[in-house]
Amino acid sequence: MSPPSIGQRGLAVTGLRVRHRHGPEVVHGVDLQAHPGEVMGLVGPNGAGKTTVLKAMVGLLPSAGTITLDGQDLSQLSARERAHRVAYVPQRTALTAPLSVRSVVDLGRFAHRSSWSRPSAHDRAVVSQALEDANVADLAERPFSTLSGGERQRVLLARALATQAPVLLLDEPTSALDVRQVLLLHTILRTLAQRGSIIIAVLHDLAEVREHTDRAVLLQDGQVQYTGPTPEVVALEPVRAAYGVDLIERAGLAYRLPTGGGVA
Amino acid sequence: MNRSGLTWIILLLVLTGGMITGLLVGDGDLSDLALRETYLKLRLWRLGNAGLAGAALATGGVLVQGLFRNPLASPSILGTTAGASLGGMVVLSLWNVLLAGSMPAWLPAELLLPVGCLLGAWLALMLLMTVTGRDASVITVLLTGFILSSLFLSVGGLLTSFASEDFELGRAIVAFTLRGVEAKGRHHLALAVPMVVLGTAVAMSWARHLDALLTGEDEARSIGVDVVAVRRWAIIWTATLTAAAVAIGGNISFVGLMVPHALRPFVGVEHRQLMPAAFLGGAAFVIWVDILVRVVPTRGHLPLGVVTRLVGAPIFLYLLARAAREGRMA
Repeated sequence: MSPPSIGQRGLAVTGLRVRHRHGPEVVHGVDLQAHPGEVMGLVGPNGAGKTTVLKAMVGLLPSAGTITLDGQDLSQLSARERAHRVAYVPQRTALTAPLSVRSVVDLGRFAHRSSWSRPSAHDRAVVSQALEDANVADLAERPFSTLSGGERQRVLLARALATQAPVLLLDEPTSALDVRQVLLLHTILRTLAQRGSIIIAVLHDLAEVREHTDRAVLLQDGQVQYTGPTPEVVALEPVRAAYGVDLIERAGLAYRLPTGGGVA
Repeated sequence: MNRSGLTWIILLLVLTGGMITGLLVGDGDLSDLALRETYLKLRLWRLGNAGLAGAALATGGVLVQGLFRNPLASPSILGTTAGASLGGMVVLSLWNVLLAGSMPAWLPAELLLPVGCLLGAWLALMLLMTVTGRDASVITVLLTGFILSSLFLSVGGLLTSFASEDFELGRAIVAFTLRGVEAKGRHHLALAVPMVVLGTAVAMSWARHLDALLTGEDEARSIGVDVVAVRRWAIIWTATLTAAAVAIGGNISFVGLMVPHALRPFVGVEHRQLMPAAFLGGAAFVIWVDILVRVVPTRGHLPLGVVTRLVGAPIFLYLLARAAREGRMA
């Protein structure tokens, strides 16, 4: 994981509006601000617009409003320039072809190479490191199509790590992971944040959000209802208003990685 | 030596063997010293046309399969070959009606054939993409290709029927559509070489983009692929390759489907390997089929495309059934 370079102005989303093609507007003027070193959770009930906001931030959906990184308008950048700055981990991939895991992760270096050039020694080193960091080095030569859901999700994370982009956007990255892999993923995200990255993850499990994120944005009906430090957002009143459930504060089952059992 | 390396050696051996055999086999006796040079020249042009048509179709097949993320796609199945063929017929007809007699003798209608084929192939692909949209299922793309192919063939049939009233035009259209590489000479080869070489070279430069597209358009875009540009250029170069193949080989079907399929288990799915392998494999395949039609004892002329269809159609049905069984038609 190489240190990303990003100024303190961070990622700013202002007045983001997204309309489905030939359909209604589903995101109505979302504002959010994320700073380097921060892990942000994007939460909300089903249909709140979390994935739509994330995709619009990656540039996959046409949107109105502005998205700037360190003051630079991302919409003015080419796909290649944007990929240098923002990496995306989708919830699932459409890939069914038997590409090797190493080749899938190497696609993360796409924006760093010209059409004809072969992977440089640096590219290969970055890919190997990403495979290690995402805990999939032992799968490197396996065809992607033979992997389990959890293994695929980790490979998609490795591909995002290989981009070395300072902003990492993840869409439900833990939905197919077991508890150990969830903890390992959050350890990776925390390490990246400590090195100056901006991490924004759509998460469903509020306990996970409370445990692993610094700030949270609670979306409902395409609008930001609450934003702030995670303990203030994942709290009784906001959760009741958005989800219609009562948050019960009590000690239940919890997990942690054993000492020395995390990632290097 | 690994599997991929061995595949390359076998491909080169099969291609070289086909080229040598193609020069040695055919009508005419090479021991006739007076005619030997002529026979060899004619066989060389035929060999070149067959190899180039096969290489172009197989490379075009890899391109459209990557573009549609659909391993059942090929220029013939998507209607691109029929579109190119119709484009060629339209150009021949327009030439006959509007320009015949007014053009210099050194500019025969055949020289404009590739232009007509190119426009026809390009329009066919554009029509297909417009009708199916971005996220069409495998079955939608195949059905639309089938309908377009039927439409182009019907319009072509109509044109042939009208053209038969004019002897010269009727002869030209029949020679173009029904006769394959055996009826084409060095002029056709000279016209097709730049189209195929350029088309393949540029297609090769899109190899990594096509690899990225295997993950879907959204993911490809997120890692920096200009998807709109890839789509636009893949259409242009597929049309160019198909047009070149149709201009020199007529309607040769299924090569773009069979050759990439046969090679994937050996060279993998990455386009940097698959595309040049398909180029060599396509050339070798059509050269050997052309040798076959020369040696099979038939009363009349056996078109090359008949043999590729006889082999290709059952393979396509098998692949279709397998895809349906594995739930890959959505």
